[in-house]
Amino acid sequence: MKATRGAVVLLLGLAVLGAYAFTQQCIHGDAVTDLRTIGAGGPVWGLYVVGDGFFASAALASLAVGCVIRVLRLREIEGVARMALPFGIAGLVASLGCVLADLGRPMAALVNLPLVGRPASPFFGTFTLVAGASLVATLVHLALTNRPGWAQRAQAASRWPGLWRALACRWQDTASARQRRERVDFWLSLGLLPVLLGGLVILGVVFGVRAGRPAWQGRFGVVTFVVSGAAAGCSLLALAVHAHRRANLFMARTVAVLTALAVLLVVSGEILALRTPYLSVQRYAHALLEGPWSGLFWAELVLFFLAGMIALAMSLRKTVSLIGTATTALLVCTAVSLERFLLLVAWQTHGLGLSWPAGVYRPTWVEWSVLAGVAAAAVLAFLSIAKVCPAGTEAATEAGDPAPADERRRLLVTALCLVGGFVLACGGLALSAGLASAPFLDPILPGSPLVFLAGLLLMVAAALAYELISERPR
Amino acid sequence: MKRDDDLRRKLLAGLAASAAGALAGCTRAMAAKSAEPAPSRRRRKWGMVIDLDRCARCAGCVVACQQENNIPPLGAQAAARTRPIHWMDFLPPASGSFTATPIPCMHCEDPPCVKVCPVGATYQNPEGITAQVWERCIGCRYCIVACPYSRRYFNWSEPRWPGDDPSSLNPDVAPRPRGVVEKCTLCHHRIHAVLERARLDEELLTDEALRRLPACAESCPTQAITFGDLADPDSEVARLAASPRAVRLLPEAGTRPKVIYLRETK
Repeated sequence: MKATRGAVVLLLGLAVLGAYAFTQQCIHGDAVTDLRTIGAGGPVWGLYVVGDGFFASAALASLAVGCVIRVLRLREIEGVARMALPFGIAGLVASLGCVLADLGRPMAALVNLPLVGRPASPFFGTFTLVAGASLVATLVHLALTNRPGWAQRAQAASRWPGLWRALACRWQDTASARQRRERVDFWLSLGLLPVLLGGLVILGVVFGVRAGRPAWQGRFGVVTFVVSGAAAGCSLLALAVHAHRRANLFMARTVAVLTALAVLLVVSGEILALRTPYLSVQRYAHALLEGPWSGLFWAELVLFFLAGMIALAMSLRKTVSLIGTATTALLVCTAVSLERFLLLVAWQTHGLGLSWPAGVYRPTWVEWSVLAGVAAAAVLAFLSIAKVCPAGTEAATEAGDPAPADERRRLLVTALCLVGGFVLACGGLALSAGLASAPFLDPILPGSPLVFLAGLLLMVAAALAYELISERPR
Repeated sequence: MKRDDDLRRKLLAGLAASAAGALAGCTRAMAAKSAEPAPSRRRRKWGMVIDLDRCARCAGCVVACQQENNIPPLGAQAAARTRPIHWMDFLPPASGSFTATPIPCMHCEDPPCVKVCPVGATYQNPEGITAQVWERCIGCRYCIVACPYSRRYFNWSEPRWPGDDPSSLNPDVAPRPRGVVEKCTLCHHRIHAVLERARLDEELLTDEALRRLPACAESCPTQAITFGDLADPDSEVARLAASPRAVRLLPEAGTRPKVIYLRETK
């Protein structure tokens, strides 16, 4: 993945504009946005939360696809799994940026969430599982996966050999090291998969399930959210791995299936909403079909349909063009953003249970600028990581097999990390949840959410320990 | 390597089987749990009854609430952006109905806003009041989205009073800063004061002393608002709540509000 200098300057400019807009918001408060009081004429969650939903779901879905490829060892499309890591990291960072931009008191959040975070709230899940555990685990995964390539660079590169050597962490291309690499890949991917899927579903719950909304509709919203997030993630991944022929054909087929599913779910949800006895749901459905949000709703369906058709045509002809892949990614991402917007905003303006007046929402330049800045920063992060990480990890330094090694120390440290992390995570969760105390009270121990997160990270560190601890000859 | 592959296949098959079993078990357990009633451990259960026959829609309760709780008046910019803060407000009439309904926070027995708060800034106190600790609030506004009655308010900008004169403020209620959520507290500072006075004077707290305790109830010229302990069967509020005219808003939301309406007979 290479970007022209002009593109980088444009992205930097957008990031600076976003930073300026955010400072305006910090100085004047959320009054500079077009968010309003719910029930009195508008939504309290708008573009920032839509951005969070888009970036996080696309990142988590693409990381999950990468993990599945690694667990099933689908070597022909390994490139997808490799590209999913920088893509996932950039997406998660962008989603974090969106959440922080949305908060009324971001600094208080950074202090209070680790101190008194409540696991009963879905927000806890999005912050600890999505922003904390997934991000750090993915960084670890990225570092371990790229060690062979960095070792190769340390030998070949004329610039910064010390840096590449440090990143490679004494990688030696021996049979036992490769075997360890494969084991770690498998177990780390298997362990990460439930965390990623859990994070995706929790995000879907934040968007889909709300008090007053009938349960079936909320659950439908969660499924639609997850499927469309997967479509967005896969379409962007397809663009990133376009150079690999087998991989891009696989991704084109996946995108075709996911967009078809997304269209089916959106249409079924709308038909069911129109037939429901709940007045609020009917109001919401009519607002989408023929009301003020109808333009966005029909645009979403048309974009999904067009993207699906292009992906289907490419996979039937077995020739995947760059223009076709880029168009599909653009269409799918726009459609998914619209889907998030309608699921979130249209419900707040037209789906209220009581007879409050309908609301409106037209995001201000500050909101657009902050979102554009976050997106630009994410693309820059992706390009930087992709540049640092080598494209291939095959054939690194040949060192031959060392003498038979004593693996006891490695296994002991790994087991200690796993068991200690598990105990810490369970303890931290129990203390944060206030178990053995009344529900909805403070954590038993202030800071226990941090203990929970530390436990998760220690479990991830087991992978580092297993792969990095050097062998001691017998 | 072959051993590794075999182990991996067996592991994946085992994981798939156990995940299916766990999912089935969880679904059954969740279904059983949702059928159980929530246990009640509270001594008092503060609640309110609003008689819509008596209510003259004079909005005196709205003004009294603003004054009592240091709610800043709506500025021109906030008005243009529809960002009012009214702990007590009037719900516009629904189609087929002709009258507006005064609507404070419902202080639900099963409040969705409490469940979603990520930092415990909103909680249910032992006497059933859904309270807000604004110092802890991070301004995520999840509680506002979760409230089916839309009875929570976000401070979009710094609060300002005419002439910036803080001497007109009620010293018993702290003004809230920018970036936090606020809501009706059933005037819990007044409840605390009455309870404390009764404790110091070693007197029994009477229902008469409580009936018009919140500012909205005190200011109501037609005495349409009655406050009291719903758990005390002899209280006026419990008697009114048992009336055949008693209704709750959005019963389908399952929140069990403790603000009860006596529907109009005319």
